[in-house]
Amino acid sequence: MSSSFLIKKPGFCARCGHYATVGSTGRALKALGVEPHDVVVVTDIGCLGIIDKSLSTHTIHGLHGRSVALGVGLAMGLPPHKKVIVFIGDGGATIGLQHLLEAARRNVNMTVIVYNNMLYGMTGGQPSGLTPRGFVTRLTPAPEGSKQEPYDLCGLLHQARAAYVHRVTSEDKGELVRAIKAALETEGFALVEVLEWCTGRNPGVREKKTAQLNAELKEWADRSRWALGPQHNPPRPNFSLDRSDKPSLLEGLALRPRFRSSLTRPLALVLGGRAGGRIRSAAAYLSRGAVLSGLQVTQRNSYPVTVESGHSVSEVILSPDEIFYMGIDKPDIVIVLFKECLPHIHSRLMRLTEQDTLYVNAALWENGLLPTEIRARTVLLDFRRKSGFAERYWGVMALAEVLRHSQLYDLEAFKEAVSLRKRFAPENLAAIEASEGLAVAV
Amino acid sequence: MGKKQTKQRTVLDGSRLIVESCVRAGAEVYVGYPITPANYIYQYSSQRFPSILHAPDEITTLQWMAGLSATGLLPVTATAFPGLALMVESINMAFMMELPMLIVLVQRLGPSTGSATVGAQGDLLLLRGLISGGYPLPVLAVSDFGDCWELPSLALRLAVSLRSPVVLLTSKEMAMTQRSFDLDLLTEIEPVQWRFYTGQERYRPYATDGGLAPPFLPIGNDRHQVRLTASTHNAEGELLSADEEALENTRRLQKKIETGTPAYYELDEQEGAEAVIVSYGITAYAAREAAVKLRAQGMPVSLLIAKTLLPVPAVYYDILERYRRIVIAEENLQGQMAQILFGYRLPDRVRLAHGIGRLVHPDQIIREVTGS
Repeated sequence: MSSSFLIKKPGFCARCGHYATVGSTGRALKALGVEPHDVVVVTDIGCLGIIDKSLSTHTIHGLHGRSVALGVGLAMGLPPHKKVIVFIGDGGATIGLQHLLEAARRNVNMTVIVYNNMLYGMTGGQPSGLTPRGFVTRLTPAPEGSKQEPYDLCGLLHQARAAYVHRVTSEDKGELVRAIKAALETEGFALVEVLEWCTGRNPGVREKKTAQLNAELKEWADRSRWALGPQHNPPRPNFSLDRSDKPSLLEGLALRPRFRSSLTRPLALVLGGRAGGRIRSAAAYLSRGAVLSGLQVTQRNSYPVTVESGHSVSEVILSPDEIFYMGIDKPDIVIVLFKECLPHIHSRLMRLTEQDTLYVNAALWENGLLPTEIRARTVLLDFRRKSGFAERYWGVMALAEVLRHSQLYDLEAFKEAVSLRKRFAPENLAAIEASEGLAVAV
Repeated sequence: MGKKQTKQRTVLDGSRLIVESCVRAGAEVYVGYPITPANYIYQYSSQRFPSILHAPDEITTLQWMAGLSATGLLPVTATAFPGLALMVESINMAFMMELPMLIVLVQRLGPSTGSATVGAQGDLLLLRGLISGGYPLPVLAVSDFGDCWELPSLALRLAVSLRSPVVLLTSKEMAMTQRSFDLDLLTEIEPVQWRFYTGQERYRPYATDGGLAPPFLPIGNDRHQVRLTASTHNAEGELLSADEEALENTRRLQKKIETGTPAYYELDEQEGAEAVIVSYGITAYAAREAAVKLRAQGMPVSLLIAKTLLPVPAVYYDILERYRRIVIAEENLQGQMAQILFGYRLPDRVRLAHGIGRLVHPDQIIREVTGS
């Protein structure tokens, strides 16, 4: 036989429904022969939240409405034979409804006991999401009582695919113990909603007999269209924490510098294209080629709010020395492939000097889409002469031509960087080969 | 030709180093909820952590982490301000329960949703007041990729040794910008040793026996009852309101973090320097560059890169006292670190190099060092 669940009498109000809920949980555990060390009780905020020190089990007392989520974390970290029991009120279930639905959806192995006394008891008798229409609370006075329909919590949880839900009244003691026992035996998510009276906020009920209290609870259930009794969903696997060892994120990243660069000072390059143009990938090849050439590099990519849409600009700094600050005030080279990037790089285009180079898609240039005041030396990239290559190759083609013209580093290093990404390598290498002669000085 | 010939160099972002460091340090579970600019950390974590959980929101994230931590697993998450805002109550809970965990905060431009894809350093004041009552939460900030490797493991070590949530502070450009990095520089990371209570006597979850943090024992263990609570409590973990024993436990939390958080910083002092540049996080790059440029111009200047941001290490004041001019560089409008160090009205010798919406420029810092 297991030890006693309750080691001290909790200090609830006289005839409070919590006594039945807590006592029945103890009887259910005892009937199942569960030892206190195999139980973790999670308590939410509310009068029932103070019972921790009355229990012989492990206990954890958290925040209002969050106890089910906390219980999920515990259930995932514990071996399956440990029982996680959450005590939460109707107020907690209202503020934390998402946590209940989530735990049910995932079929987390735990038992949630909702003590639904149809109002916030501890804080003064305010209405909750489970206060029935017509129910009188201090803030929803007679004669109308609450004007809202309550949630059907068991119905919601059943819809969320809870393995087992059961609505019962605190005054129906035999049924309450059976419901909690069945919940504890359920493999997966189980919830028992206990309809209770808050005798502190409904002092009149203290004088009533059990049968009458039970009948009145059942009447509220009936008026709220709350079905009493159990609801099951077909068995399915419990949610559990999968564990597996995975390879290092640094594996296969090493690049061994074996090419040379004649670069003697930092050089800043801006590659402007548009989303879907593989601009970031092309710039990444440039960066890796630089590293293969013994250079240091930073690559800062534009990052549209909606991934894969909007502008696409990559800023690359290449340097023989360590790079600290990664911003680019004035680039040395700007490549403009599509008009979409122009608003984003306009100010930097205007800062270019006669010593800098602008590589621009010839079609944009001819259509007068670039500001005439740009002072940089301009080189046209005439992709119409290389019509066999789709726009997504223009980035690598342009960069290959820049490397041929500027000698930042050896084109072979760029090709090796491209080759390392095997899936795209053949087509990219073909594009690089074909790019020779793409550039024409203005 | 690069000056230093290394054998293995690569191009990567700070997120990758942070995640790899966490796992090598023994972090077991990553609990994720998507948010820009912390998505790289979530993505890498799903490829690397032994266990990955996809939470439905950030409140759940922190609650799951607290539950996992209570059972003796070491959890990590990453978020930005909007997610942190939802986590605040639960971080307070974990702080009070004394549950180890790591929260990586990748800052972006606020207020509110602000600009998800623009970096910032605007959340330090929020972190300073995150715990109700003003209790300190350890906050470490990464200032370069070396830190992205070293600090996550130190933060996890601290979380375990102090039994506390710890924040690792970074921002968009550190987490997402690609940089070349010498893999040969990576040091070994020893897994964090999480020692559990082994005594035979009844376990008292918040009894410290004179130390700063109580010994830990996973909830649900077979030997001793464990009681954890977010409410004011005594050494047994029993809820008591303003009882003297319980208040003493709460006072201990202040002392635990104040005295138990090491001062991590980088100090590069120069003979004859009258000014010191102080920075942290992403702006530390600009600060380093400013120092290099000033020195190249023949002007001595010292540099303090703060890595432990909160609680403020006393040694920072000892260092700063030695300088006639203090230039604090950070990417926000208020000079948040400056306010934390010197209050709302800054002394004349304190200058700010700051701003929003773009990286602080090294020339801004130089102007504040050299200007009248």
